[in-house]
Amino acid sequence: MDLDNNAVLSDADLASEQGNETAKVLQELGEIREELFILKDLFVRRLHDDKQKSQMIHTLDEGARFAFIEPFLTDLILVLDRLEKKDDDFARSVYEEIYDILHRRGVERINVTEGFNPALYNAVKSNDNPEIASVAVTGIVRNGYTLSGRVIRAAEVIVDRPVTK
Amino acid sequence: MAEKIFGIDLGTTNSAIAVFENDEARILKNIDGDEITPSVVFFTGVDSDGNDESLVGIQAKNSAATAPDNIVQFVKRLMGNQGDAYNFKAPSGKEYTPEMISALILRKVCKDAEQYVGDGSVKNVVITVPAYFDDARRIATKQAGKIAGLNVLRVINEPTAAAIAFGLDTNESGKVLVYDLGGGTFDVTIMDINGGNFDVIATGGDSQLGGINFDQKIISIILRQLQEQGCTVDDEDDALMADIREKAEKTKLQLSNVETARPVFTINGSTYRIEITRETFEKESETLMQRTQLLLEDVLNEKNLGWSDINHLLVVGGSTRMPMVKKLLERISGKEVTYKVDPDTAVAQGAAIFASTLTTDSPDADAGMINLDVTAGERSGVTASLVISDVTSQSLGVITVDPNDHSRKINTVIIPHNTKIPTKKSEVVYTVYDNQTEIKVEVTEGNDADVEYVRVIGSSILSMPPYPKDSPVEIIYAYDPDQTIYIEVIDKVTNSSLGTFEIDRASNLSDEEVKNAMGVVKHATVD
Repeated sequence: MDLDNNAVLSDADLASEQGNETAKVLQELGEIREELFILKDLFVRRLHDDKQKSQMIHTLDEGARFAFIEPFLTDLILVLDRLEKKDDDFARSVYEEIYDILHRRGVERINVTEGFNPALYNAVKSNDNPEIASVAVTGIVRNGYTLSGRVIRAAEVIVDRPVTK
Repeated sequence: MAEKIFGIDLGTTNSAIAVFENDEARILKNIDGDEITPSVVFFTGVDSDGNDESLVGIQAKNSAATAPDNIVQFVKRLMGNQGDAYNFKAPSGKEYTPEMISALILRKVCKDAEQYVGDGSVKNVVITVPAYFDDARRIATKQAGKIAGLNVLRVINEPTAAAIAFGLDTNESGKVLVYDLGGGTFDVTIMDINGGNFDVIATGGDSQLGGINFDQKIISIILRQLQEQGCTVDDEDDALMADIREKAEKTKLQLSNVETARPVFTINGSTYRIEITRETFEKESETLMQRTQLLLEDVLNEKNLGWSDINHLLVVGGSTRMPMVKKLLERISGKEVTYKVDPDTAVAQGAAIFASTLTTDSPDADAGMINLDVTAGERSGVTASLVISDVTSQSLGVITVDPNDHSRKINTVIIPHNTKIPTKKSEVVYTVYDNQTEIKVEVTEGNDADVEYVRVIGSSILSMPPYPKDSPVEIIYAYDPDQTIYIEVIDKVTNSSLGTFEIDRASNLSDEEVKNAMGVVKHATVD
């Protein structure tokens, strides 16, 4: 259709042109929305990935620190064992002092109760006892210790075990 | 996305699992935070459905004394054996074969690894075995994996796995001797490594020689010095014995770094100071080191190799950290010993590297020679093929009759041990009598000519036409990478086949038994 300078669009033509513009805008909006979804999805995945990596780094870091300090602690625990064997006030006080230093850094002596817990105790000796129905701890051979919840040395215990017929 | 394949070192005393990702082989720790899991199973009881409940690993070890009848250790030594004598009866009354016990260990190791890689994702594995493991034991290991619900793509030699870690890390080539001195066993392997190709040439070992033997030497020195200082050691004193054992092991480790160690003991209120020099320890351990030297030389001599033929010396196993090992090897080989691979985890890492070259849907995944492209990591920037061939760990032969004395039987080797596999070899034998109509083929495992010292692993009787005596018959053995033996007998008069058979693997579980075992192990809880 040829138009001169002063021609105006008819209503129909205008509507048609406006419709095309709208469709174009809508299409572009649609594309932008799709791109946004993709970016959002990527962002969420990256966040999740970062979280996982952060957890892994934390675990590796903890593992590395434990691996570094564990040999030192096991040596020190052997010194504590010897101090425990000496029944005098000086030895006891040195034991308590060293233990306190370690305790402030996350080392705990394992609390031994009657029920046998293989996660924390190591049964090094056993006696048969026909009067019991389940394994019971009756004595401690060597104390056990944990560092931030991880076992450095399990408590070495003596157990009574039921007699099976 | 391709499924991950994991490498497992299923050890006699400890096991480990690793995966190759981000260009490195990473050991996956267990739930206790340790890289190794003791290969120990303890049956704690029975659940309300009658299924066994068990502990595996350090907690199983800790529980051993509470019920010694319920603990199973060192099961690897029993793999490949069948019969009641080798089975373990659990509290439920169910019988567990060595394969089933190993399956429980594998389940634990894989389950713990899933805390890092996702539940249910440890399915496809490569498992390592000692180089001297025979046909029955390798198949038993594979069956253990299957019973554990795993897809075992390959079973490879431990020294091979360690050498893979060495080869990929450094891209070196030449003849490599792998000296593996672990906690309880000693292995020697000679391999050819060349740009990703791995060829095992020879193997040897001693299953009763390892780090614990050296610990015992230190204990002897400690006890001797305590006695010299007037101390009477009560070996019923559990605390003292535990103290001596622990300090002996620490002393051994210390002497790898310092010349003198000074463990101290307090016994009955008195203090005893022990002094052990590295020189004293090495002198006490001389016989142990000589044992390893003799085994090394045997393996070299068998292949007419000398130290000048060996390009690289690889030491594996924690016990190789002792300076006396480095000293011995450098003295007898004239080569420098370097610690390029972490000796404690090399096997699992190498298995993981090898596993990364496989795909679960590759038709060649179970083939004898695997030619797969693998990118050897950003460090090298080279695409290499990983080709592994293996050797027979035992000679295979047939029982024949002494031609000069028909009452005497002799073992005739057809495939010598340390032959590269897959392989096909044959031996022509002759009929003994006129009109002989049957030939009995008894397949043996072992090097000796005396039948008393070899093991018959399978036999078959085949019919043949009645020929005059001294008629030739060819016995052909074909041996594949999983060490399955195929036998064919050829009538050389007519050049026709008299028949074929596979080895009747009486020392392995049948398919039915494996299926039943899977059911039992599946329902057993493992903590």
